[in-house]
Order: sequence, then C-alpha cells, then structure tokens
Amino acid sequence: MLRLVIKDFRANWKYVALGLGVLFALSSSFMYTALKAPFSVDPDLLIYFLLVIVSSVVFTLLFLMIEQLYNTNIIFASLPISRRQFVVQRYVATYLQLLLGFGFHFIGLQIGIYFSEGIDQVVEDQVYNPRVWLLVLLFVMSVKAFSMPFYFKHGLRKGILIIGLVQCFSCIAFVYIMMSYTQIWDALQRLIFTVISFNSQVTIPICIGVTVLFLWISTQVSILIYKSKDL
Amino acid sequence: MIKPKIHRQSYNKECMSTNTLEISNLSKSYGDFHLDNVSFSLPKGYIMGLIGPNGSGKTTIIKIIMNLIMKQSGDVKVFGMDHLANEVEVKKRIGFVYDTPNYYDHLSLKQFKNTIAPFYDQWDDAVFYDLVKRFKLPLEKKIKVFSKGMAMKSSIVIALSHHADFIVMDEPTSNLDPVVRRELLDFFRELIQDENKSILFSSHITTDLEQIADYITYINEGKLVFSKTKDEVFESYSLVKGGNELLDSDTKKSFVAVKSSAYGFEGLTKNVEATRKIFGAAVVYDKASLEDIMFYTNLETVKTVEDATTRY
Repeated sequence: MLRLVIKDFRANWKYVALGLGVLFALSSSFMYTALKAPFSVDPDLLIYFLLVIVSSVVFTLLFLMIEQLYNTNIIFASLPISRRQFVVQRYVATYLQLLLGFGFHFIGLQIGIYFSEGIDQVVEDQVYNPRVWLLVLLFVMSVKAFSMPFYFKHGLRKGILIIGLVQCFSCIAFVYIMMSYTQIWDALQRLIFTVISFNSQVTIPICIGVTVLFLWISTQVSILIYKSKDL
Repeated sequence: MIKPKIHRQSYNKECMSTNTLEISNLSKSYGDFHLDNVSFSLPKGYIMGLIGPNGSGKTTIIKIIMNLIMKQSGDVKVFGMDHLANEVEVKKRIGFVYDTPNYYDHLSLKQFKNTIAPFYDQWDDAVFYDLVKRFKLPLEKKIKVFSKGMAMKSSIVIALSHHADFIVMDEPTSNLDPVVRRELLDFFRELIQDENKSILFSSHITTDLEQIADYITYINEGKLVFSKTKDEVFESYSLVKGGNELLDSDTKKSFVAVKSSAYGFEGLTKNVEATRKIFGAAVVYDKASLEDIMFYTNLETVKTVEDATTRY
C-alpha cells in the first residue's frame, strides 16, 4: 500500500511541488492584498476559505489528471496489486494531498499576514482558530468522498462534469429555496449557530466521526465500482 | 490438452504436463462484440501466438488474463491458479507488454524503473541494466522522446526485469520497423530457452509468429478457430490451386473458402487427404501460411454472413 502511495508522489513530485507552490502563492498573495484594505470576517475571510476549498479540491485531482493525461491506468493495473488496494491507494494519496494542500495554504497565510500591515483581532481569532480549519478540512474531505466514486465509475472528465452539474443544481436549488422561504434560512442559521455554540469537545468528534463514516462508505462504493470495471 | 510436436531441439519438453495458462469457456460481450466460449491452454516453456484480424478478440483475451476487463463466464488459470482469486501472486510472475506502452512521459527510463521496481519482490536491477545495454536504451532521456521501437523495447525491459515466468504481450511488434522486429524476435527466441518461461504473444503480423511460435491460437470474430501446435496447423491446412473447370458446387465443399479468377482458382483446405481424393494430381498443393489461413477463414466467415443476409 505504502509503495503504491509513494509511487504517485515519487513519479510526479515536480507536479506536486508546483501545485503546492501555487496554493502557497494563492494564500499569501490573497492575504497580503486583502489585509491592505479593511478586512472583515464576512465576506473577506469567507472568500478566503472558499478559495482554500476550491483550490485544494483541484489540487487533489492532480494524480488522476496525470493518469488520464498519460493513460497509465492499464500499466499500473497490471502491477501485482489488487483492485481493492488500487482504490484504497487513490483515497490515501488524495487525502495526503489534501493535508499537504491545507498545510501550504496555512504557511502561505502566515507569510501574507507577516508582510501586511497588521491584522484585526476578530479576524486573527478566526484565522488562527484550529476549529475553523478542521471544519473546513472535514468539509473538503466530505466533498472528496462524495466525488471519488464518480471518478472511479466515469473517469475524471465525465466525473467532474457530473459532479459539477450535481453541485450546480444543488446550489441553485438551495439558493432558490432559501430565498423563497426565508423562515427555512433563518432556521438553518439558528441550527448552525446552535451547533457551533455547543461544546466543541462534543461537536468536533461528531463531525470527525460523520466524515470518517462518509469516507468509509465512499471507499466501499468505489471498490465495488472499480472491481467490476473494464479498463 | 494439445500434444505438441517438439521442434526446438535444445531440450526435452515432452515430459512436462503443467500448463502456464488454461482458459476454459471464456465469454465476454460488449456492444456488438462477443467473445464466445473460448478455450485453450499453453504448456509451460512454450511460445503461443494469438492470431486473428483486428477486432477479433485477441486484446480482450489478454486483458481478461490481466484482469483489466471482467470476464462474463469461464475460467482463467495461470500457473494452475485462478487469476482473480490469486491476482497479486499471479501478477508477480507475469511480465506484461501492452501494445501502446503508456508511461509517464516526463520521466526517464531510470526514473520509471524506480517507480515500478518496488512492486516486485524479484526485481533484478542487474537484469534491467543488462537489457538496457543490450537494447541500447538511454537511461536518462525522457520517455517522451523515445521512438516507438525504443518505447516497446523499454516496455519489454520492464516486463522482464523481475524474472517473470509468463510473458504476455499484446501486439509487441506492430508499428515497429523490420530491423527492430527481427531483433525482438531473436530476443524472444533466446528467452524461451529457459524452459520455465512461457510467452503468449498476440499479433496480426503472422510472419513473426511463423518464426517463433510453438503454438498458434486463432481467434476470429470472438470464436476460437483452432489452437494447435504450429506443425499441426501447417500439416492440416494446405493451399490448393487449379483450373476453374474443376470447381463445382460439390468440389467447392472441400475448401474452407475459394477465390477464383480468370486464370484459375485458389482455395484453402483443412483436409488435405480428402482434397487429394477429389482432385488427385490435377491441382497444385502449396504450404499455407498463417496469413493464407487467416485470409481464407475470414473469407469463409464473410461468405457465411453474406449468405445469411441474402437468405433473409
């Protein structure tokens, strides 16, 4: 398993380094530029975390993109590994990339803040709040867990298209429902704040548990799909 | 199991009974294509040529052996083991060469070797470097600048550096120039002197297989036409040439297919004795090449399809 994971990083380390460099530059330049003007939690920090989410998700597609580009799946599938191992390796590599991506975003953020003219206390509290970072990470992990079976079933291009469409329609439906029924939006906000104000020693493990469960289901579905797939 | 006629004099293989590959009743369908109940086996220590026109099912069989595509029914045993239940163990002993060597183009051959080698317990760097030297491959150049011949040679080097006992190759010589093809065929001939190794080699370049294969398995339109030793194939099939006046609906039946022109007819028979009884010395008998066998068998299939279409 470890050999499989190392294989991707070893063979594509230049692309990985380039990708991490881009994430680092995105975070540092965004923070440096944003902190020059008055910076607020809403919307500046929200936009920043949106940037972290989107760029990290794209970065985790790197190995799949390279595999599709060079069409190497047949060669690697002929190696002495089972299909189950192949799928699990994809998940491990993806989540390692995600952790690396978040790490470089965080370092980039420090550099951006260091070279800017200072940071507001409220913003600082949120930027350095480990709970915020953890929740964002868990959110991205869940997004990935949702997407991975589609990639195994349909390949990268078609998978992205399907997930993109699903997310786009969900987003439109969400906005439409929230705008049409403001009482639902208010209730949702109240629910979010209630959850956040709960004891973090309870909510964080629950969030981690739900994400891990989601990830496990996603892995099993992907294994099931990939085991019967013609390459 | 097929009883081979031994024609390599270097060692005695008659006593061997183990099969490297056993395929029984293998079926697979996708779209219009059907691989239909194909069965054959390859004894240990031999080269089997898998022939057939493009789209006949050669690559499908190879992909099923490698578990790249799923079989719908049938059994595949490699080294006497089920290829799915013992996938990892089986693949450790297989060297696989695909028709298009797809590698990470941004790596050099050495870097690619470093990526692949850890997967094989038996990987042997000495063998790898020997083969690289023999094929005069550049170790440090990026794979993207390799010619087709170099890429195929690299693929073969990678496939052979872990002491594989069974080498599976899908069209390894197609797209290669005659010089490289000859070089590779000589190499395969040398390789098979090790009686523990077996080679399954698909190709539509039949002359390559005539040179090196011990067994020929012919697949046409997803169906097994025959799987025999090369000698048996050449003994059973013959090309018959004669004047058109000898042909009538009865005499035509003794041929797999017949092609006539203003100068006479040429047909393929798979029962030379029966044909001799009909025509005697009035016709000329020539040795049929694998290409002739493929051509006429395919002609028969086309004719059958046309007849069926006309009927309805």
